[in-house]
Amino acid sequence: MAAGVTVKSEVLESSPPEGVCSNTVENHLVQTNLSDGSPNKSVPASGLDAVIPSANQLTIFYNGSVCVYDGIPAEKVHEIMLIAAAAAKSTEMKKIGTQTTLISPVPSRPSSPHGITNNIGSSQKSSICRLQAEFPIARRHSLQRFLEKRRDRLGSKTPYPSSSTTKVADNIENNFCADNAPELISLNRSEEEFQPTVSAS
Amino acid sequence: MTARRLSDVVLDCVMPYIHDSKDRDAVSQVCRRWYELDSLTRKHVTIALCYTTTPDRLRRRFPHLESLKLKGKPRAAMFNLIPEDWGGFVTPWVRVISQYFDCLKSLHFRRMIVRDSDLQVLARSRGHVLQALRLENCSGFSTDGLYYIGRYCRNLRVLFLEESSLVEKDGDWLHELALNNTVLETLNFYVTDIANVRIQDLELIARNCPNLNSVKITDCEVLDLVNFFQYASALEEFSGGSYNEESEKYSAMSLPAKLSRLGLTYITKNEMPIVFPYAALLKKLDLLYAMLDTEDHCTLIQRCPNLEVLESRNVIGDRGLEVLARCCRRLKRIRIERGDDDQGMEDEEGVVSQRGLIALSHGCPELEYLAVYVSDITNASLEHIGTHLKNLCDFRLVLLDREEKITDLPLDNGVRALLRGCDKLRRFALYLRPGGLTDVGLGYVGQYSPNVRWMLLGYVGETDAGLLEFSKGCPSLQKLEMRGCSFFSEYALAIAATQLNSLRYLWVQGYSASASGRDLLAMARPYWNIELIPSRSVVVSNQQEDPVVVEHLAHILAYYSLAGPRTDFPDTVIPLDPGTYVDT
Repeated sequence: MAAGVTVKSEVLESSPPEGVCSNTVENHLVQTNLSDGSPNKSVPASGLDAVIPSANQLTIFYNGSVCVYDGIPAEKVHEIMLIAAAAAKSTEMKKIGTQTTLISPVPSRPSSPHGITNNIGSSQKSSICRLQAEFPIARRHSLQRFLEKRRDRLGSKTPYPSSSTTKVADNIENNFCADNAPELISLNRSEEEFQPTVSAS
Repeated sequence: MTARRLSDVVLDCVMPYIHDSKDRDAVSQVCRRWYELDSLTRKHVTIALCYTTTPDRLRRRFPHLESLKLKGKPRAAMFNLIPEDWGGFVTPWVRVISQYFDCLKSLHFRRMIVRDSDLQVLARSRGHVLQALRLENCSGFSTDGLYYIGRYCRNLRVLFLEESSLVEKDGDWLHELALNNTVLETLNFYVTDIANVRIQDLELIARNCPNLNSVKITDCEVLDLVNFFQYASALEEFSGGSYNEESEKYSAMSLPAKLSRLGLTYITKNEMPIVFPYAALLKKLDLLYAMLDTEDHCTLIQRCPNLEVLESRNVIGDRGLEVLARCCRRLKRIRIERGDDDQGMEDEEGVVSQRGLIALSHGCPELEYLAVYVSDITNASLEHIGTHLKNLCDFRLVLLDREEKITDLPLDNGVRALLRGCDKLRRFALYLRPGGLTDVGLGYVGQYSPNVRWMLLGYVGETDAGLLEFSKGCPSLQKLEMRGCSFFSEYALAIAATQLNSLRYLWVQGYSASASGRDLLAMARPYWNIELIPSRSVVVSNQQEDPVVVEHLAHILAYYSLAGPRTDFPDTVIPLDPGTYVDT
């Protein structure tokens, strides 16, 4: 699809390709961990499995594509999320600008706002943890209980289909059908980008 | 002799019409005769701290009480800052009430520990006359105790359990209430853990009690309440419920026609339209426990032009407050609590700041109560409040610690302008951060709070000098709560407590503790109890569900008491013995 290609090229052109890909991938890692259930699409990584026994599967959603990695330890994912949060904050304005110029905003919209939101939350989380050790501003007991119940309620609702989930699924399907070749390219690239991090540790 | 008898007759006629507690206090000090007349005719007493007197003293002083309100634990208990077993037991009071107070119709316990046996004694001995029972923010009892209330208190018009931590065994208590009561007006078990509610019992109450006008319950499925709403035709207030089904099913719902006070728990954008037909009639809206984002708040609020009371979380955002200021000019009370710290889901715009406060000060001139958690603040916004909100009686501001940079600190000049402008202020809370208010600003607080009786101060001032300057003022201050006072010494706190002429209650957490705690004894005096709650570690679950160990810093609690030191303190409380002071 011409629109899809245009979107991708514009994103790439906005800054050095490596940086863009890295930031984008890292942004979506946060979402990936927050969402339950992922498409069961496995990429062979037997070496990692052998080396890290407690590793889990990591799924990355990027621009309608899904990449699945085996053998990623939990603390590594945590580090990646922190890096993604920091990176997202610095590129937030740039991403917003890019989003404005997109010819076809539909594929990006579901993920981009969430990414921004979650990353802001993540950065605040670290400062809250630090302050909490010092002397927290207390919250009313009743409100605290509500926020806990709300989280449980939202969590329990996740497995069930809702209209927004259906739309997201539709988008994913469309992208699969329309762009097989770019998907493969994207998949390979993401995998290549991801390898050095694992190697470094 | 004739003149004296005539004046007695006149006074007998006049006295029953004096209701204000301060007027009553003044009258009772005129002479012995007036003291006795006040004793015989006093109908209501509030005891702000249950350890300031004893049940026997109360009985002998006011033998014909019809209404009694008792408070127990410090207010900080509502924020999980006070040990659960600190005290505040109703048992000795219930014992005396059951034996002596024949006229008592209304009983209100707040932040106290209630046992099932207390409720049993109360129900069996006073059940036939009790009309109102409020157990607010209480703990220690279960539905077993409520069973006795439901069974024996057939004339109960008010049963109020809001925010109490009670243990639910079964739903029999409500069933018993439904079977025996035909006069209930208020039923409230809002924000409790009561889950086993049989809808049939609610329906039976609604059918049997034609005067039922306020019902606040836990999160029952709203679709199950259709019949209840039909029967409760006189209902004016409803809070509670939850929305677990598909959104379309709620569109056909009808709420009672006279509904003017509404609390929407767990409601989302999808179910919100059920409120729209009633929105124009709403006087009070409680969105503290709603699942709405900023946009939803704006959508709903602009349909409520007659709103007088609003409670929500900071998800309402500055934008929501601007809509409020534009559309709800009759607003009298607003409370904006601190919502989720992890911005996500519907809270992403959830920031309240000087922008919202300025809008409110211009748009809602009738505001009497303003309590808000803000992420940013300026002197100018406080000046606007001082200029425009002339009816403000109660102002509470907390500056959240999430944002590193605050637009405009310190707030000395803004605070001065607010206090000078709002001359009706009775209650004042200012919780900032180091640097938020200098010693000069703290001096202003003392200087410009002539009528304030309760104050909460957090992270204000810089040195002992500021605290002492503050304590030269505040001529009416009776209750002072302070937090984050590591820059004040024990000695300065003690001296400040003695300089505040009207002070009768002091709670401090996070002060600069001396090694021995003896500097606090500088505030020792007759009838003044001093208690120390040493620092302790408390495990709490934070937003991410991994437990965090929080160090609760030491507390000081000091208060006047006609009863002398209490004897029921737990291991977590250390009384400071004034006798030591005498020996020194």
